[in-house]
Amino acid sequence: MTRKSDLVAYIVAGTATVAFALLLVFSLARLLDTEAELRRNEGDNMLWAISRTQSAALLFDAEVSRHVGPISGKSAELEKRYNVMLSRLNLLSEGPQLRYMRDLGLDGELEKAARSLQALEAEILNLAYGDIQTASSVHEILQPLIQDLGRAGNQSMVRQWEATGARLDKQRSAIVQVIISIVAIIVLGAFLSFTMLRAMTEQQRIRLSLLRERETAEIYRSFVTLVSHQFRTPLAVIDSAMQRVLRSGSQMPGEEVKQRATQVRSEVRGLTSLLEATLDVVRLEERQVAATPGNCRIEDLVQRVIARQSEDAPERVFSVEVGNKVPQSIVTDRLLAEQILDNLLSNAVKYSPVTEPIAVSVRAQNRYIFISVHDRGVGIPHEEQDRVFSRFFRGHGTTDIPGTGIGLSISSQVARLLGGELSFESQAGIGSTFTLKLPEEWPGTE
Amino acid sequence: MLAGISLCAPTARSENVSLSAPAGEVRLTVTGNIRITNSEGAALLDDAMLETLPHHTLETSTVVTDGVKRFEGFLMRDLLEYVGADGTMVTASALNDYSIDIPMEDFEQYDVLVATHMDGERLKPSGKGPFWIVYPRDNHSDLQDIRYDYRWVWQLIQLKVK
Repeated sequence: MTRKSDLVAYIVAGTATVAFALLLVFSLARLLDTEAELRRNEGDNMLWAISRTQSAALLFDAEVSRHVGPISGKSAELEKRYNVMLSRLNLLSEGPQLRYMRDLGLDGELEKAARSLQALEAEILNLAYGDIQTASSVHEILQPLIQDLGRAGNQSMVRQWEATGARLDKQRSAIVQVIISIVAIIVLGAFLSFTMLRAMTEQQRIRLSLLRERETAEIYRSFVTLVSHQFRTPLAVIDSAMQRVLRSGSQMPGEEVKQRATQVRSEVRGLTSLLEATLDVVRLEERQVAATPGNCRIEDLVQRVIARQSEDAPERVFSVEVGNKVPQSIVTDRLLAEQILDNLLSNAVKYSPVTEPIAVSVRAQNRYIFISVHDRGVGIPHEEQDRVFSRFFRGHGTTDIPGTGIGLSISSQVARLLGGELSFESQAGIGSTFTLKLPEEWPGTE
Repeated sequence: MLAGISLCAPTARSENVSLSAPAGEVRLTVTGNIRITNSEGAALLDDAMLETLPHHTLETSTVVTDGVKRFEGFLMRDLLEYVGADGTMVTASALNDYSIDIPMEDFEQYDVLVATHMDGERLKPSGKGPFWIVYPRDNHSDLQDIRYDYRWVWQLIQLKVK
């Protein structure tokens, strides 16, 4: 299924790329055509050449008439007019001009006129007063030529305008085609970019999910190791207690049965809390834990947590120090905050010698309060500090102290849920300080 | 009379160098801002004088003929130097009353020929003669432009330097 859709995607993207290239080539070709077209201006030149020839014929005819009449002209002027006339006729009888005149059906007339004039060359150049016969011969040659050239000029203009119109049409359509191509190129380009981005996003998503998968696998592995380790001891205790009860049968005094049962129940409680903590993680992961903000007196919060820890470890000494800027109360979820502090204090109890006091200090800064728990315990080696808040992390050499490696991970997540943060400073062999940072006001929707 | 006075006046024209008078028929007249003259403010040039200019050959196509033509003649640049021209513009006039201004930088930039022969034949006044200004059109694509085409003056008879 995926293979098939991949194939379709490849075909679509490939087709789009090919279309993209083809459109580019097409618009380039049309632009080049148009550019070449713009250089062509034959028609203008022809109209000019025709009109100059007509004017040369008129001037030559007039000069000839003047020469034989009462107003005589210079013979140099006559020769010049004759030469210009021939030069114009020659121009129209060669190269592109000849082809154009042929199109207009005038090439024969022009050649005939040139030949006839050249036949009269001697008479023309030696034209004298009263030589009416030569003058009329010249006039007879020039008169129809002048008329033909006039018509050719008109035709040429019409052809030129028609050609210009057609050329404009062609150029306009070329421009429209190029515009359409460019729009198509833009659309295709957008499509290709979108496809590429989507593919990259998909790849990134796959990479992330693979990473998460690997993390999950790692978590389960740790969990299994933890369970095998943490569950084994209580289960062994329970098993041995039950064996005793079984073996002794009815001979066991009621008092001892009661003691064994209490022991078993305590171990079961431990196991249950282990399971609870694990479930907490799952609930946090799935965002099933919701904070309920309310007014919370800081003094009460700290005292309650210390009272609870003192109950479990009556031999420990706890000190409390509250900074003078600390507000009486803040708005937060009291139960969740207590859960975090419980965890921090019980850790301090677990990981420091019984003789060392545990200090709790509270201070305020920038509308946040900071509750710190200091111990003078084993501390956390520098190389392990990165992983302190990761799930199932147990410090090196702490595996004989009961613990799940879940507490701090949960606390850190809960702190974030409250709009705060959990941080720590620690030195191996000297002690640790864990600090819970909480906003004084409830941070809104979070 | 007036000519006599102006000749005697100590003006800038006193530095003018004179050119021998043309022996044959005058084929080309150069006027305007030139130092070397043989007439009143003009250099009248016959074939013999023009033949002293370095001979050049140029093969190019033109817009009014078919195929590549072989032109012979002299360079416009050499002619203008010959008459001591000083200016920026040359007005070229033809037998057929055609007259056009050509920037003198054209002649520096390109080997513009004043052709006397095309395909070995002397250009005649009844054709493109006596002279045809020919640009090396095939050697420079920028000369293949209608704005240069009108500078190809044929039946050239006069140049005026400005």
